[in-house]
Amino acid sequence: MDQQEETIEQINKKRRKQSTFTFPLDLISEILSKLPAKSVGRFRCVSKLWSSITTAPYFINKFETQSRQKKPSLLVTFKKGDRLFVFSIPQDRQSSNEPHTIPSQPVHSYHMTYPKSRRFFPRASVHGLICCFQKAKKLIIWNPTTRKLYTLTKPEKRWKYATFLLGYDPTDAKYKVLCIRFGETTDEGFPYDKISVECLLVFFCSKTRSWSWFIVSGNRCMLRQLHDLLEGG
Amino acid sequence: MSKKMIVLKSSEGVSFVVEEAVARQSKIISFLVEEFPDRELPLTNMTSEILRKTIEYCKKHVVEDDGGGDSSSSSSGDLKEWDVKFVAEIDQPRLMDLLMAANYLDIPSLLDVTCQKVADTIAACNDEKEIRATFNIENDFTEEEVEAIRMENQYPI
Repeated sequence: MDQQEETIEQINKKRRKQSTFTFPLDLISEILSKLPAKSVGRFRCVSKLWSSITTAPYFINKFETQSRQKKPSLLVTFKKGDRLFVFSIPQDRQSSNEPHTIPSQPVHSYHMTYPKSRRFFPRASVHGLICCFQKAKKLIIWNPTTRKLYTLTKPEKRWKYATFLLGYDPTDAKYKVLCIRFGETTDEGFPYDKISVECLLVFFCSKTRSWSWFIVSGNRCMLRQLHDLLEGG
Repeated sequence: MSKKMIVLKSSEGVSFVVEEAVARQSKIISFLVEEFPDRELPLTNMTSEILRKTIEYCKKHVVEDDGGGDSSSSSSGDLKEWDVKFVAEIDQPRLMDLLMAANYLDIPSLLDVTCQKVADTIAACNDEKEIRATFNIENDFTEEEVEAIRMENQYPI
């Protein structure tokens, strides 16, 4: 028994000496992918290894896939003074007849200063990216994790009415923005009935940062499907 | 009906007799049992302490199949709570060893809870210095490089 205790003591000593983070790379990547997005960014400066792991496309992909597999979250945004807040509240997938319990997971909160020069309103979100509109003219995509705002203007300045929809295309893993131009006589809202025949679909590709043009004849049914598809994320 | 038992041997040469169903949660052991039935399995890179912990986890998580379909020994909510307690009681260096063991033996659920625990520890750190101290990581960045990365990933608390 004494002998066994001695060996354990020796092992513990040895253990204290060696670095605990001399891990295989895939394990470090596995651990880091379980961090909240906020921490991944903040802790990039721990070491060169951590920085290179967390900026690799493989890691980013894995991170995104994992967070999508987690419970769906309810995003609540509100403005208080000059601050803009987002709360991400995990939702339990429960059958409707069971009483709803308060999830034990932490509620993540993000905040940023509301830019005075712009007046915009959050509308919808896709994978945590929040889609905001500025006077129905510009689309602002807000990433609460990085606190960055990406502003998109209409593809053509002369367009009077256009609507933007943000969506994620899983076929090429890109975020795309659909811009639909209405006939110039349209009222507000989304009047599919009044869409002119020369309706244009324009996609903004997040990687190339440019618009691609598709001319589509005004098929009402197809547009509604597209709209539903993109709204659903 | 007696259950089939298998013998696992730690790096110190201590033998552990476990039910096959318990040990089979490790994909590696599952494979070894089929390849080498009725043989003692030496796990030379695992200490008795870590092996005992791993077996404790597997015993709790074993799904008993009594012919009447799968019935877990505990409900999934209880099991989750048990997991949280299980990893909370282990100190940092042993947690790392357990994580390595889960990886080596290929026990996905144990790997998942141990990785999550380490991630929680990292997330609870105030800054990168605390992380380096906790995990014995050498800082190989210069001050300027750290500043540049911080600017890129600005997120004050």
